[in-house]
Amino acid sequence: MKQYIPPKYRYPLFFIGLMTMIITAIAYKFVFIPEVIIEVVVIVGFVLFVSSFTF
Amino acid sequence: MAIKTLLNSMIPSELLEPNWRLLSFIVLLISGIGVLMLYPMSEFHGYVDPFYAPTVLVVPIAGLFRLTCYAYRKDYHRHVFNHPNACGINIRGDSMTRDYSGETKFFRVENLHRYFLYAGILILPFFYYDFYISLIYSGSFVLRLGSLLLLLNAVALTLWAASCHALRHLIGGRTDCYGCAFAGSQRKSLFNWQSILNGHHEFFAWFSLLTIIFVDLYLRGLAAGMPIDLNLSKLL
Repeated sequence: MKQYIPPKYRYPLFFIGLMTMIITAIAYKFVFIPEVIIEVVVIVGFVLFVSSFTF
Repeated sequence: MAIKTLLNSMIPSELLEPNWRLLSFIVLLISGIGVLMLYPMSEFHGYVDPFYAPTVLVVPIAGLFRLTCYAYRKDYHRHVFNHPNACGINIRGDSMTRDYSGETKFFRVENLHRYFLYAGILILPFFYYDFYISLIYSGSFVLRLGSLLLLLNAVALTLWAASCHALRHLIGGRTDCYGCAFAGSQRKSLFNWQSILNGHHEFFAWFSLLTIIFVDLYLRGLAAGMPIDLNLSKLL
C-alpha cells in the first residue's frame, strides 16, 4: 500500500494530534471557549492523529 | 559522588539521553492521565468503564503488565529509544555509539512480567462480570451494542493474556523433557496450542489496547448524549 506521509513526519503528527485533543480538553475545563470551537479543534486533532498512521 | 554513582547504577542510558521522542511521549502520557483524572467516568447505565474494572486502583498493575509486555518492549526499545535499531542502517543517526543495555538497571522491572501476568489473570474475570451486569442492568435480559463491545474488550484482553510469552514459559517452556514431566503429553499439547496464539501476541497486545480506549470513548459518547447505544434485543 502506498504511503503518502514520509516516516519522519508520522510521529510529529501523532504527537501534535494527541496533544491538540488533550490541551483542548484541559482548556474546556478551565477556560470559557464556545463549544463549537472546542469541537472543531478536537476534530482537527483527531484527523491529525488518525492520518499519522493511516496515510 | 555517591548519589551520582547510585543514579548511574539505577537509571538506564536510554532515559538520560536528549531524546525528544521519549520526552514528548512522557508529556503525552502525563497530560493524558491528567485529562482522565479531570473527567472521571466509572459507570454509565450498567456499563462499567474498562479502566474501572474492577477498580481504577488496578490500573497501575495493568499498566505495568503492558509496560513490561514483550510486544510493547520491542516497540518502545526500537521506536522510542531507537535502541537497538530494527535494521542495520541507522536511520536517525543517534544510536551507533551506544551499547545495548537490555534488561539492566531500571529495566530489570521487565523481568517481573510474569508476576504482572499472574495479577492480570486475576483481574480478567471482572471484565466478564461487567459484561454480565450490563446484560441484566435494567432488571431483565437486554442485549445492547455496548454489552457486545464490553464482551469484545474482555475477549481481546483474554487473548492477549493467553498468548503471553510468560504464560508460554509457565505451560511448557521450562520443561526439557515432556515424557518425564507430570501430564507431559497434555502440557505439550497445550503448549502447541498456546504457541499458535503466541505468534499473534503483538496483534492482540495492540488490539486489546485499542478496544479498551474505544470502549472508554464509546461510554463517554453515551454519557455525552450520543444516540449510539442500539438495543439489539429489539432487532432479534
